[in-house]
Amino acid sequence: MRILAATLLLMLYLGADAYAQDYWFGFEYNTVQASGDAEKFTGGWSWRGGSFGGRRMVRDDTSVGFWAGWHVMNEVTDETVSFLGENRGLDVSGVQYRYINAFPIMLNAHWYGGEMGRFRPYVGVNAGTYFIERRVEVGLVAIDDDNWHFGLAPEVGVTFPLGWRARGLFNARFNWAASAGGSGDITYWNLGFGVAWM
Amino acid sequence: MRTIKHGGIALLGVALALAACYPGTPTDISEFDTVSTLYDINADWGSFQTYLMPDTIIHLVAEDEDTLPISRGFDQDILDLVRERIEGYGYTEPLDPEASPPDVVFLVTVTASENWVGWISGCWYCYWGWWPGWGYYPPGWNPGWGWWYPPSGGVAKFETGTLYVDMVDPKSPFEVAQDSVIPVYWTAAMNGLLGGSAVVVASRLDSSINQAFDQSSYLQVIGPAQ
Repeated sequence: MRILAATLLLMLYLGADAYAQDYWFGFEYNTVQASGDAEKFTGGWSWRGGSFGGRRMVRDDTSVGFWAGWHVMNEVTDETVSFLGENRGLDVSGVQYRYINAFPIMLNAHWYGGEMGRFRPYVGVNAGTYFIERRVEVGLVAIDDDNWHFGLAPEVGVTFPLGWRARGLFNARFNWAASAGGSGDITYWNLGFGVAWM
Repeated sequence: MRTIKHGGIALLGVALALAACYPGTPTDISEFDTVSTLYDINADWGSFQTYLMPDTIIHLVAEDEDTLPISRGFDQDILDLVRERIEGYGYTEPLDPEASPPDVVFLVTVTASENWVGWISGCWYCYWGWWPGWGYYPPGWNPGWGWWYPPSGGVAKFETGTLYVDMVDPKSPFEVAQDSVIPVYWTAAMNGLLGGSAVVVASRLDSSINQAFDQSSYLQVIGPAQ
């Protein structure tokens, strides 16, 4: 919650300077590629994701800001799930609908190459929290758990001018949500395609 | 009108958000079917070779609970398929069960309800006490005997129809908390939405019964039958 509060404060701070050219605000469409245990749970590729963020250029080659989004991973499978207890075993089969809904809320910093107003590659790191819901529906039963995870998301990308004070964005992030509340680490990649206004 | 319009937009937004959260939903009634098999990992699997199965399916319909009546139109097909799969695993029926009681008994039960219900427990004798096959097992049977499953906290939701096949061992009663019980080594619970044409229901039952036995290969008899 502290991170969330800090994010909101930063948004207010950036908003106060909304017309300065060293500030930008943008939206991205995100694709998602689950990895690790998340891939085992929900399969690989997902087209469902989106995010938004704001950045303030504190130097010609450095920005700080925030990033928040919504990434959906899902899979349908009919594999049998087995549980083994001390005295009993249980096998359950049926069509399973598996979902992970991940909501990153993060602060970030980015470092840019190239010149202002031109094509600029950059690297960055996002740090904050993920709210993640894992859910399985089988038959008429649904089981889910929700957890707040500490997380990091290193990022590489490029930004390029589109005109009318707009810039295009293309980036890739590796999302790492640390284990929390009985859930192990959850990891996934995402690609972002977006536009930002200076 | 404005309120209604805004309410409709809000509802549409909620619906879209939920669809976005949980894409991919069942498109066929059979996608709600589940097959759960619970088994005792300490049972001497492979050693059971003979069986009996009553030629009746018990329909659990309690007057004081929210249970639903169930058609008997599928009973014989269910019994035939269960028997086929049991014998496919190598079990045989004894020629003279009175002289040589079978190792295990398979019991088939169905229920339909709109309630949450745990694994069948309690007054099993109320439903199965009529069966003369119990007379094969000394010592004499007592209606007060309980029904013992491997320890389990499992519950299932029976807003739907559920078909059970239980494998019990009447030869091995024992005491739990000063009550005599007989072990239930295996239970298959096949749960699905009630509905669909007779052909569809028959197909779903067939598929579920086969799945229950397919995922329970430990039922296979090892060694020659008696």
